[in-house]
Amino acid sequence: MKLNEGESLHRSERQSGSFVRSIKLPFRADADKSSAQFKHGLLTLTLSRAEADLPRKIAVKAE
Amino acid sequence: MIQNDTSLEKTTQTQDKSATRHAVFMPRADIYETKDALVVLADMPGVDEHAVDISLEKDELSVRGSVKVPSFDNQRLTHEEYAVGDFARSFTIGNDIDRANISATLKNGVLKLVLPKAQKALAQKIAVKGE
Repeated sequence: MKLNEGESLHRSERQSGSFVRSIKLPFRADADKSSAQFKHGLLTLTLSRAEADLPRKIAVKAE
Repeated sequence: MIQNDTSLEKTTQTQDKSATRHAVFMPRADIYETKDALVVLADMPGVDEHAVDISLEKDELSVRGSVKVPSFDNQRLTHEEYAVGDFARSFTIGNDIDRANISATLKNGVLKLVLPKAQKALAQKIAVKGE
């Protein structure tokens, strides 16, 4: 926080600066179907699972 | 001046009579003093301006912000780092504050309280009458 001349800081508990984070996902995400919303200081990320990474059923053929 | 008595630990709201146990946290605050006012910045992410309650009683300024616990249908919580709860904190206000003009704004989950300093009474000259 920048203080001007004649100002003083009484208490400092908050952090300032930029927020950076990388998160490894358990599946690949489809960027075109993903979205982000920032509201009231909360970031909500909705990451759509890529089609190729959706669980598949494997049929068992009788021999 | 502003003082407050609390640590940064989570506080449990003992007076809360609601059925659901809702955690209450103390928001981190910065307090600084300008030429004309004391300014308090408190982090309350997830709180919108309609969910903040600020009251001043005697010399105590109380701030409470409520956060709606998100509900996720058809979703499974796989990782939780972030505890969700309301925010509450009280500050003791000295007599040097102009209480009628305290203002509050909320932006991006940060509450800004401006407490203007009271106009100092002009020095008065008191005339002495002869008896």
